[in-house]
Amino acid sequence: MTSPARHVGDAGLQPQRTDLAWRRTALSLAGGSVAAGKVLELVLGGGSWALAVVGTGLAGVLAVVAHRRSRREVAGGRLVATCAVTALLLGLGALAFVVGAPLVR
Amino acid sequence: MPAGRRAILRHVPTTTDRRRPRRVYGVGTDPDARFSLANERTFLAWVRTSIALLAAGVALEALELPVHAVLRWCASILLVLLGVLAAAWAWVAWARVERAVRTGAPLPPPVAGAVVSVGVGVAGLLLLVGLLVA
Repeated sequence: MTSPARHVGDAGLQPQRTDLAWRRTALSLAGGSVAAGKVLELVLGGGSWALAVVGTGLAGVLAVVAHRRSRREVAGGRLVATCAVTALLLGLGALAFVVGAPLVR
Repeated sequence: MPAGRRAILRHVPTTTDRRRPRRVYGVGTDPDARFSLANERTFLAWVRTSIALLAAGVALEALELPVHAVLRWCASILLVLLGVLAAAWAWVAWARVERAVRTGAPLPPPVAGAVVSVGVGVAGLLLLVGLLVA
């Protein structure tokens, strides 16, 4: 076997459920990113819009890739990493905002 | 092989296995796909929880609210920190569970839920007091 053949079994509707979960999460990340662009501007300045664009872009990628691979069973390690990094970026932006807002005002 | 079921092939990792991270995919064998998918969905649920916590923390700071300023800020910081921790935990927990499922080891006990629950409760109390003394 030259390529790693994924375990072949009957996963039922699980791939579809997982695909939908990825889409829900991507939507949350995109919504959060857009909101961050507006709300975090006070503290992050232009950086908030960079965060908004990056976050929304990554969320879109997640949704597309997750949907494509729900049709065949592929390991989720890279998807998980990308999603976690996106969420952490939003988290750092939020933290910077909350810490810096009282100082800026 | 029981009649009516498709063949179940177990994959043993070879040097051509390029899935990342190796700490996870480099051990054990592929489990039933349903376990991996369920693990992913749990990870995604934690990420959404993280976003909700971040949004709550930011909103408290960004909006004009009739809450004592210092208490409001403390609640805000607490929620945002919980949000960041939840995102990091989501990733760590996904990897831990995936490894356990691959190697047939017992699943790590779920501990993070209690931490988040207590944290959110504390933030709520801070806001309650802050509302009363504003």
